[in-house]
Amino acid sequence: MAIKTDDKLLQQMLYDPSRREEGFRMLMRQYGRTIYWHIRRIVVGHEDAEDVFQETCIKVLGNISSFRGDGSLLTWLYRVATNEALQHLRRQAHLFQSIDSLGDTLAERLKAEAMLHENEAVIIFQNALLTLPTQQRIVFNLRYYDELSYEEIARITGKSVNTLKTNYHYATEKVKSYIKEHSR
Amino acid sequence: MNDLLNDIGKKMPYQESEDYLDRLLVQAAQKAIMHEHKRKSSRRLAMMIISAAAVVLLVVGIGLSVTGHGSKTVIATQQVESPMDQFLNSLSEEELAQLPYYEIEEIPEY
Repeated sequence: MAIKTDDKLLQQMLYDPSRREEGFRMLMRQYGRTIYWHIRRIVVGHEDAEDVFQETCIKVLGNISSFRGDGSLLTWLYRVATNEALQHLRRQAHLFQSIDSLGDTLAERLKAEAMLHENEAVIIFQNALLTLPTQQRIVFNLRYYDELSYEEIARITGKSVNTLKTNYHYATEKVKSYIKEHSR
Repeated sequence: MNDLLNDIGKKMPYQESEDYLDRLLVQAAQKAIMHEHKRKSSRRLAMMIISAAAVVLLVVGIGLSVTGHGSKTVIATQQVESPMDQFLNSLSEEELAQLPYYEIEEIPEY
């Protein structure tokens, strides 16, 4: 288990060119797993998640000076990772096709990568999430899996707290009705 | 739905080993650092090329202005006589002789 480094210390290291690389490695050790799973839940595929995670690392290191320290480092990492994941999905969508229409493609990917003998309820729940519009899905993931507050999600997505609450409510309702429909 | 969520918790249908994640974090960080080094060195190279081009342009510009025909003449004809020179030139020989003449020593101190 990695020892947690204070955010202030990490930030000082990242701002100091002579200690930036060391600070960046520590940052990845501290938050890399959380960010990886956030990306994986958006893009679903193993290879896709690896590519997006790599791109996120490059963006984070290259733009560290743009982090003003208003929010937490983790919130900023979530923001960069979310943007990279969305960009990855946009590249996969056909011309004039919305990324929201990628649900079926992502469900196929889930089917291919899901572990054998996986609990059926887990698969149904994941498929329910993939029927959600991407923005609702991201809000749901951040709230349900990562247990972030609406204020933190607002900082990541750039949406208002009220919009996020509405998104989460609609997402929960849709997931419920999907599960009702597909559970035996 | 709550029963179902309690049942499955936050389990994902796919898993990655700790070894894989450890390796991914180290490799991705290393690649990002190398990428940043490359980006910086290519930016430095671009700056050097731009500076060199600017110096070459400056040298060529100076060379052209020095060797260019008539450029010196233009500078010479553009010189303007001072009002004092104009006044002295307008005087005749006699008028010039009548001008008060001071030796350096005669200039009073003040």
